[in-house]
Amino acid sequence: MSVTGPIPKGAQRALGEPMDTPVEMTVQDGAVHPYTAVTDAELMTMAASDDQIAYRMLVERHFKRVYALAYRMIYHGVDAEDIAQETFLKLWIKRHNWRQDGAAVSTWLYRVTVNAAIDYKRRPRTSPLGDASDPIDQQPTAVTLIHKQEVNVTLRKAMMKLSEQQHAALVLFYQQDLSNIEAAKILDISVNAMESLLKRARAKLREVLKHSSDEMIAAIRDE
Amino acid sequence: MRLDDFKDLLDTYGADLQSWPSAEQSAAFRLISTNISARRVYEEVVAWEDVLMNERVPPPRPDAVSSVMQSVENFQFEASIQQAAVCSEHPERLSLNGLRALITEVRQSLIFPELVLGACAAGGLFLGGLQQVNQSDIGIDIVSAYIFTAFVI
Repeated sequence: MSVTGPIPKGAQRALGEPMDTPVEMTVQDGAVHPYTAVTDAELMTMAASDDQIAYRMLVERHFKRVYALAYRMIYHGVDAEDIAQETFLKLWIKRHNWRQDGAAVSTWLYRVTVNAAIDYKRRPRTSPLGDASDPIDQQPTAVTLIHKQEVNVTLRKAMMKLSEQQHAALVLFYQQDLSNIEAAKILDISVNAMESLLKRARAKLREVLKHSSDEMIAAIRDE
Repeated sequence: MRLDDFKDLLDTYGADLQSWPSAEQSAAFRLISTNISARRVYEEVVAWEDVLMNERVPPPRPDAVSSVMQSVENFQFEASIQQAAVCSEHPERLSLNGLRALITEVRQSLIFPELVLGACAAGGLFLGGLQQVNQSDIGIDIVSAYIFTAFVI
């Protein structure tokens, strides 16, 4: 019997690596930045003293992940950038009140992003969300690309039928590659509530996608 | 394991059977290999999880980080304009702030202000007491002067 196995969570990442830990980064003159080995908490302390270089390091570390989270919540590139920008501006405004013993910088950023994305989704608009078909990626054949794109649009539409919390839970768990504990902190709920939320989200998505499952299965077999 | 139990576990743990509790894991493998409906449900969940995990996000604009920094600059600039406007419209606030800053500076310049206050009060009481023992009429005035000085400090 041949059963298609799942790709382990975190084996592949669509955009952005986890950047909670210090990463090597260069500045314009090509030299390694002195803040490279500094943790987020330390950078935040420096930013609280109006150190804009430290703050910029934080932005560079987390921007892609924050943007990707916003995009996956609203499926609109330009607006996702706006949400990410708004989130980082809030971080700057909050810098003097930042508590080192509080949440990790990344957790705080993701929480603000999710809330901003939820606010965005609640705003009245003329065109429905989830219809955006941004360029996905460069695949070897046009047929495969079109097929994948269709499948992605189907999935996005299905995701938009979930509640905001369910959508956020799936994005955090599957796409941002976070544990239940981390995702629960971001959504400000208990781990048990997070597990229950994920269960309901999976059940709903399974139900919504029941009629599109053939194309889904075909899409992953095409790869 | 029944099909409904299997669906329930799929919703609870997802399609990665390796992450399931071991007892349910082996039962699930058995069910998938013998039951067509279970296999179908499993493949559906595997498919959408796979699409979800591999969904591509279009990259942000190359100058996105610079835009964030620019928004911070703009915010700082607007805040300074607002501050200046408040000061020009209400100069008394500026002078009050200046006075508060001066008081703070003076307070901070004292090493242990509470200690100084306590010492002055104790000294005042002691000297005042001596004066009272000597039946001096001005004793009460001296005590009052010391206590007053201590409170001022």
